[in-house]
Amino acid sequence: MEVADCRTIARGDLNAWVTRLLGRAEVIAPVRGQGGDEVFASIAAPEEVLWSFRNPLLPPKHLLLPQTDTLAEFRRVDGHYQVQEPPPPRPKILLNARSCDAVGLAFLAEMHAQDLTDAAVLRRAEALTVVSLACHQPCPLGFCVCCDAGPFLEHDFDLQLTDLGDRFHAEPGTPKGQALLDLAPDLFQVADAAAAEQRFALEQQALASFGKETCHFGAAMRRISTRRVAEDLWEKMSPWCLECGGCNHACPTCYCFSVADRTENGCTTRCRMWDSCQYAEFTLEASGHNPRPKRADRMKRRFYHKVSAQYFQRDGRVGCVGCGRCVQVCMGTTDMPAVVGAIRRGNWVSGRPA
Amino acid sequence: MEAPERAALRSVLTICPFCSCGCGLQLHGESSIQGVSPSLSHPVAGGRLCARGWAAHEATIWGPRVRTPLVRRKGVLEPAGWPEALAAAANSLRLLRDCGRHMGVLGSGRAMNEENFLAAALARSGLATGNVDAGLRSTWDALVEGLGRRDCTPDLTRTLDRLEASDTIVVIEGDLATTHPRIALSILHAVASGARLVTIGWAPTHLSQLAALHLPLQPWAPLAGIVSLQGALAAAWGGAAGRHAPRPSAAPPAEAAVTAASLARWRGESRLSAFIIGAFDRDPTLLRSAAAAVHALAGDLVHMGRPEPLILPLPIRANTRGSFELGVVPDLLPGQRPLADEEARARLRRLWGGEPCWTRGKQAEEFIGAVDGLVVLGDDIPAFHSSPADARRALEKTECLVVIDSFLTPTARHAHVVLPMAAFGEASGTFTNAAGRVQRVRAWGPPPAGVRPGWEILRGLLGALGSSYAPASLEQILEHIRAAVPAYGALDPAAIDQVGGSLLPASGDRGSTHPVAALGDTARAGTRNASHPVLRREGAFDWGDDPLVTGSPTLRRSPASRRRLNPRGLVAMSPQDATALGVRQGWLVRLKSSHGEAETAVQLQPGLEPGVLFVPYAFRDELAGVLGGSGVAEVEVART
Repeated sequence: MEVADCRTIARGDLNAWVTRLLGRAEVIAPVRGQGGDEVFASIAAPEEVLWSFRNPLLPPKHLLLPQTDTLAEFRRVDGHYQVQEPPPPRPKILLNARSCDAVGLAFLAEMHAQDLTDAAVLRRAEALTVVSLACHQPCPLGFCVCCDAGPFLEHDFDLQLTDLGDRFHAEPGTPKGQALLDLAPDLFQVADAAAAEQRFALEQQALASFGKETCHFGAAMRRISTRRVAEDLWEKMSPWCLECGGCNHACPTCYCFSVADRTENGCTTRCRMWDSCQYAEFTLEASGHNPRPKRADRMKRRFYHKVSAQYFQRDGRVGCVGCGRCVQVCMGTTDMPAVVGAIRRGNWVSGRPA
Repeated sequence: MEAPERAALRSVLTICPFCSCGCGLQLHGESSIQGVSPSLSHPVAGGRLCARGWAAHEATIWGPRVRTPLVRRKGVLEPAGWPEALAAAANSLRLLRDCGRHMGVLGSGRAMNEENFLAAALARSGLATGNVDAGLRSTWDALVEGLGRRDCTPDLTRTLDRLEASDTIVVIEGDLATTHPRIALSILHAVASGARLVTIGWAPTHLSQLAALHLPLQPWAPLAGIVSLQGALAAAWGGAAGRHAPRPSAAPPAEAAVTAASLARWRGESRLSAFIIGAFDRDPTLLRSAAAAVHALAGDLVHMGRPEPLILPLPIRANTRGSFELGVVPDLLPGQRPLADEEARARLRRLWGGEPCWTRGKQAEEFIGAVDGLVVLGDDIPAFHSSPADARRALEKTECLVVIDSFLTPTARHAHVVLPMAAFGEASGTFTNAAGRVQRVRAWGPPPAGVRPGWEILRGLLGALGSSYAPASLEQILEHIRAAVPAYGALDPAAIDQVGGSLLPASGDRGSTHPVAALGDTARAGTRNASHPVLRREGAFDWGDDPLVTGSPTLRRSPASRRRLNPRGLVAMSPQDATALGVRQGWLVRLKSSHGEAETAVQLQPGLEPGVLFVPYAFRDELAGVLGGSGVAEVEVART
């Protein structure tokens, strides 16, 4: 992105800009939810937006892939079936997505554009403008730097904001992002050299701040992709997983799903819903056969999909954005960094890589 | 399908409706409920949910919802309006009541505190009966009684942190990783930090893979295993324990020696211990005795100068504890007061009006088949009943069955009147979790048109039956609960709405030492006849039949497919026994006992002791003929 395209906006003008955004589309941002949890929600007023916050535990992937996603309705009328599609998605602006989540959304859009394209997801992606907020410091559990998904981004955003203190730096990444700047030409100034330098300095500082919470994907990818992971490693790990599915549900790049129909009053609604490859029933076939009956098999499959080089080569991305949510939500001790650690070190003892 | 003008993505903080861990979660959606996520701020959940929690929203969306009241006309349930349905229910119930016929009310651990309190009022004030109970109440009551403490609230507010800090953890369970995953997680963390885990249960479970010691309960003399442990621990830890511990006699000597040796090694090292007791069986005597053994052990440890151990008995469902404490129990008044307690009676007269019935009623499984008029709140009887076939027969011949539920359950299909109740996410109230947290359950949105919150339905029935108890609002019911139940009165109502709710106070009452001597007698009885294998029904409850699971496309897959693939049920058998019989996984065998016989499929379970067969609770009906109404039977096994 050309430096000349970057802008800055005074901190005090942010609310005015958000008001302009609200006039254009539904704005979804991190807000303070009940109980003190940060959640993504539609805002009615700019004051609801959080600018300094813990990343909400549920990633914004439900904006592309709702947890319950109505695909179509069928009605039988005069001996014929009528199919009704959902109405087209409303334009939405996602404000203050963290870098990892912006990458997650881009990943999902790409996955659903491969092979048989998924029109429902792609329509939502088209209608969604992603404004990311670069991270000055790593989250306590995050390791985005290991996944090329943060703390600052070079791509995968429509508009990237950086908090410079008294003002915000804004980098448009796409015409959609540019359009949001064009809504308020009076509030945005061309970014000066000082702003650009400060943004660069903040990025370097953030990169240097990552401590122990890194996840050595490279090493793990080499081992997995060259069959140097002992089969019994997965057996050793499996008692430490309680099969909650949280790692899949909370993962910005997981998109496994199941489909169910509901019929009431002559109308059948077909929905897609989130599923987890960790559940025993995920691959259970009608015959009763299950290709992955053991938890160890399912865990192995998940991490091969996430970490194996073949997918990296196919997709140009690793199936992880290093957001750290799987560490938080794990109802066990088998989160991504722990498993990657076990793959690297080769063993697992008492619930930990060894 | 229309896109509502102002559909906005929003979340509310509520509590998971499944087990008694009481995890907080955010329920979200745009124009309707779409999904859930864990609450990071919640002291129990801490940002996590189990598989059931992640699907908590599903039954509300996918379950067989009742959307209008239903009244049986000419043998068929048909839609009706609310006035007609309420009148039909009330008229039939009133008639039976006034003729002196037997009445009963079933509350539920799925229903909220406010609903259960009104159910207790409906029984004692509206229907003049003491037959009020909840299906799984006896599994909680027995644990509480055995521990000698009626309030059963740990003194520590941070129970899970304390559990994770323990260095020795004893779990008496029916697979805690499945029944209460959040508790199991704390045990995983403790073991990863070096804690020693002892699991005690019918068969090896998930947690026993990680245990330093697994003690199987002997199906023919389960108390012996518990007594043996208590004796061994007492012997290993010495001190004044000998005064309380009966000498182990019924357990195999070799096992006791191993136990004692291991425990002696830990004796000097253990400081902080924890005892977790799940509802591992239906038999209240067994549960009470297990709890009593733990209580005695804990007393021994304190007596020896060790810090007070954590004792956590676990109710099965989200609000099993709340329903019990608010009076859905046949032999106690709300607040666990004796029926003859004049102060409690005076409070209830003031609140409910008139002279409520103070009679001691029958337990749920006794009165279900023995009453003429039955009101069922938020539960499906065959799903929990120890004999589903008996339950179905009982429901068929009940003269007036009124069901208040969100789903058209098998129970509701037998009803004369079905009154549709708001489901999870559609109504507010409170739940009381295992540790005594009273937490706010919130509605994401109103129930569908035609469906009402449970408390409004119960209030309507109370009014139609002539009771003067007519709370004006949900908040007022909570005030009444706080007035009727002293422990709830001590809660901070504002704190209930905060994340984590408000914790019930501990009474500080250590309770009396349970007569352990009686344990020894029971343990010695029932020596094993070595020539015959023993079949035991395993567990106290199976989530697979619960409407919250059968209504969830994600959760019902496993139990539904297991049932479909095993139409005759199954028994868990050790590989050695299977080899001796010449059968393999999935083959049919014939079981014959003095009660009857049945054919069923074999499931190999490594780690199971030879001579022992278990039938999972889910398949108790298929093997009812062999078990003959009790949980255990000696059987002959033959290949078919």
